[in-house]
Amino acid sequence: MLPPVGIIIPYFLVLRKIGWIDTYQGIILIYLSFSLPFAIWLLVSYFEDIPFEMEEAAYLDGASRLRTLWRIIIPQVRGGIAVTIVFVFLNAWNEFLFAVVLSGNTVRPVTVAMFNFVSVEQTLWAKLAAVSVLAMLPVVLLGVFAQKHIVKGLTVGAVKGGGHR
Amino acid sequence: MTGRGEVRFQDIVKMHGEFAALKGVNFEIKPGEFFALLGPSGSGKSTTLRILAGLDAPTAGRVFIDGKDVTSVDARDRDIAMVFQSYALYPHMTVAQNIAFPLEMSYLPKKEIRLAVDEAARRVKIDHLLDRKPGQLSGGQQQRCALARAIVRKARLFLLDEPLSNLDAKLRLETRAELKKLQRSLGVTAVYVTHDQEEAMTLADRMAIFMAGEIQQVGTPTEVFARPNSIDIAGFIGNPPMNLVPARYANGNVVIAGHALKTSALMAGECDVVAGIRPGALRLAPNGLKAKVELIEDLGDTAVLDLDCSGTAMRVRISHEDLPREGSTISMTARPQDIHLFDPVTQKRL
Repeated sequence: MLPPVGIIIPYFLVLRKIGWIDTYQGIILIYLSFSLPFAIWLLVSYFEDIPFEMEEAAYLDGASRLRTLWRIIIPQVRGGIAVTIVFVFLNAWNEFLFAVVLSGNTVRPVTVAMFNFVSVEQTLWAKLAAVSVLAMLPVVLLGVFAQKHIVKGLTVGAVKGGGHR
Repeated sequence: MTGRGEVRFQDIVKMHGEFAALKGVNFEIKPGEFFALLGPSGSGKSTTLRILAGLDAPTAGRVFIDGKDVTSVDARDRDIAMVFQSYALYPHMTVAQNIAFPLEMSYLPKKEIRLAVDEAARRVKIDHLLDRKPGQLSGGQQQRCALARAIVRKARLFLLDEPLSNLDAKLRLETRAELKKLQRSLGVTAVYVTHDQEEAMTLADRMAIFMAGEIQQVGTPTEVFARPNSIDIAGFIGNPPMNLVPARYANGNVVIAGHALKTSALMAGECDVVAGIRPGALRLAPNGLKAKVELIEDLGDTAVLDLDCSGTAMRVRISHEDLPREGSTISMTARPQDIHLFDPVTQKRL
């Protein structure tokens, strides 16, 4: 794995070429390029844990592939999806390096906004602390919400011999 | 409807890379029949069931259901219900939701679904468990739930992939009998995969015996037991298995370990054969085939004796009263019609 600093320059060049420096879509694109592989890698193991017979049973029961995914598979990986949401959200929410280089004037994430309270002349400690607390709030709320699903998702008994709820 | 659930397999071949899982399988299943696919693991019986269900496509050959070629029809459009070995219950749904799922997929009105679910659950006696999740059920209850999900839709074919193998011995016997009654009362065609010859013998109207990707014999359990087609089948069907000993045939007699026994086989000349005699067909009699008793397995009503017959291992089942002592020598005979002869080269029945 490359240290993130190592790929800032190419990212900058790409974004400048398409004119997306300091835009929402530019930052979203950059974050997506980290988060998507990570999310897929994390989710795959959850999907693979579901026995293939489960899908086959659904097909034989007359379900299409899409309905099988929606009604049978997704509900069983709820825990994995919750875990992934938390990780991906934290990754993006706490990111600083790319944001400070590739944005900061017209658009900025909360980490960069906080950094603006630190300057050469003075550090606005009170504001910095207040924003820090506010910045933590969504993370805490997400954690509380996700916890319910994570615990549930880990213990569902799928086939015979599986765990009990 | 008559003719519902008729199946025909025509020259089905299934290749897994270089390996031929099925090498040209042909058979027919009549409507309303309980048909067993029996064979050791890796013999192709499960592959056959999966091809019938539409979960796997054959490499070559055609599958017909009710006279229609369904080889390229999707599993969901074949109108087939299946009970999986692992049951494959949907763990996030209640028992009622599990049973209702196939009906929901065919967009039945809610009211009808509820009636059908109640009916199916009552038939397999789990109507008091409808609000539970599969994880809260015992193995036997899960199995019933899987059965209910399969019968609720009144599909034309009912496939069972070793449904009893996850149950304990006592429950297996009970469920076996119930399964047969259920199939009779529904009048549905059932295809049953098992490696347990006793299950196949007791449940099936007819059965197909698979060995190494081929069907070796199709017939009623009685036929297969009475006239096994090959040495493999003779050794596979029956418990304890048939004694298969090298022997020499000459003029209506078969000579085993120096002793001649009369057979009903009618062949000219002399030749080497493999003689098959079921352990239960051997009787104690004076001046017969001599053998030394090596071990006695007493089952209470009957006993199985492990014998050493001039270097060949044999088994005999006799009633409990006639029990000889271990180490003693006994003398046995068998009726001519109970001696099966096989060709040692082709392995086929003579």
